[in-house]
Amino acid sequence: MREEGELHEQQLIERARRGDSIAMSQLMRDNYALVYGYLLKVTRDQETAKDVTQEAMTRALIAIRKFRGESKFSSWLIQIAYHAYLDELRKWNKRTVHLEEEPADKGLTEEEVIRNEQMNQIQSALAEIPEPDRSIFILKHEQGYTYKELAILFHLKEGTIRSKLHYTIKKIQRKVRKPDEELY
Amino acid sequence: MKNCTEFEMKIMDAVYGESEISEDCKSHLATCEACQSFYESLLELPAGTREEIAVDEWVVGEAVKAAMEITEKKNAFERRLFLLASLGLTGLGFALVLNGYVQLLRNLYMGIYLGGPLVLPIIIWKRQQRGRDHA
Ligand SMILES: [Zn+2]
Repeated sequence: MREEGELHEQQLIERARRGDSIAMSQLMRDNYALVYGYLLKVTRDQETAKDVTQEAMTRALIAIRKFRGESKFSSWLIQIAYHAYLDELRKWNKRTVHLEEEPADKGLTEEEVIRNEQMNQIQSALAEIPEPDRSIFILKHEQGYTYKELAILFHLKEGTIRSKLHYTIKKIQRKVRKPDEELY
Repeated sequence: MKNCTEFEMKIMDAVYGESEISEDCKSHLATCEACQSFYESLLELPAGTREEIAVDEWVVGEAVKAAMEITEKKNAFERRLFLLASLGLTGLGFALVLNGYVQLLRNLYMGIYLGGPLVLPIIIWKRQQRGRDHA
């Protein structure tokens, strides 16, 4: 099925290159969750994530003729999204980051409350981690990118990706309380 | 004797499915509390909720619209530039003929016809280089 999916994607890319707006829309729809999901993690703000998703998709569609298929289309798109996000960061460097309101813990089981708390701790630890380290962790831990893919994406050596990831994990581990640990 | 950081990196590789956990790493893990704690903590680190993300049709639509507009503007600019360059060159040709520089015009054309193909390998090589950089 995967091959069929790839063939379908290849056809859409070809048609999008020729300026077919239906193919362009379909291609972006297929990758929307990936791009928006990643941007929501790094920006922690729905509106910003949507703005950057739109900007990244526009850039990708303009540059689609330059996509040579040496990497996966989704990786190429994430690379563009990462750069669009960096530009946004530069623009709003002095801006106070509006954090997403965390959902209330009402009606959740104890396990879910602990998990929510852990997620918040991870988010606040991640907020202190600079780029590209933050994106490297998110793409590895949440999206399962390989070291090789990350190395291509961030123009870094695989060894550097590994050490950056290890450093981020250590930093997060120090911040995240284990479920069986008591708060004191 | 390897230090814990090196073992932690190997544990991380194994957890993320980059490689199998080695024998020396296994035996270190059995005796080192710090590495055990790193391993367990990494396994327990939640990967976020994988809720369904609905496509925002407005975002996609605006992106496609903007991309098509920008591409069209770029194409129109390139078409105008090409037209201007063609007109300029034709005009230059006429000007040279009218002013009696037929010999110069002939040499110019000969230069372009003979020199053009020589530039081709350089262009191809440059394109290949750029392709490798993108990979
Ligand atoms: Zn150890």
